[in-house]
Amino acid sequence: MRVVVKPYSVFKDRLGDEVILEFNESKVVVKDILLRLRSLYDINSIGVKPIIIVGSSVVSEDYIIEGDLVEIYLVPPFSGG
Amino acid sequence: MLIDVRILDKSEQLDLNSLVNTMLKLDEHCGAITLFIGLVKGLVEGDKKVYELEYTIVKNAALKIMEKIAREEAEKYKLSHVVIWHRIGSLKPGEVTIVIAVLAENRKSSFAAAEEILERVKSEVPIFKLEKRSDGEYWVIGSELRVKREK
Repeated sequence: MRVVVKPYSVFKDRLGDEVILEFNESKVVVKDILLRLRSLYDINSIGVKPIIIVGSSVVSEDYIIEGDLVEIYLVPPFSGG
Repeated sequence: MLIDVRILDKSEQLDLNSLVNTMLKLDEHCGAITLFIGLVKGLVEGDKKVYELEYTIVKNAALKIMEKIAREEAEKYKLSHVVIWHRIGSLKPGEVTIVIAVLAENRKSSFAAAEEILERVKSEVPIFKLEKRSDGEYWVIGSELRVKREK
């Protein structure tokens, strides 16, 4: 499966507009997506907890994503208002 | 129950007089309107001058979550009308960032609902801000943390 990661805010500065990850399986756990991203980019040094949004929901690291092509958002804690 | 949730570009007009005048006529059982208007602060962290605040947003998710908050708070506080407008893009000090308005049966539920909606928008809606200020550019993370932008 292909996961398209759209970073925002501080993560966009580090990762760019979009990161495309390929996985052999048809489903993947969010934890594994974060592991893959950490292996490709130095996310930890930013010092900000990453949050994953799928659709319109914030999901946990144990959440399972399924499908051939899925778009997710990588964001920091929110700061609206 | 009426719900009015919007993400607004800077170019879109905010007609607050019209908003209040409309709410005044909506429900004769209601006894209170609370209107909250958030502004861009010109100074942060003591004496750091802010030139601009740039808002970005995960648009579809943000709109759905704002609608959910509005519906839940309207039910909880028996509100007749809930308004949540959030502006995005680059805003200058003194400009409006967010408008929250509620029409309620009484003052207690009106104040409580408006405050709760604001706090929920700040913590639950994927909106992000970048402060452009006298000592550099800083991402605002959550309600407190600031991270200097790498450039």
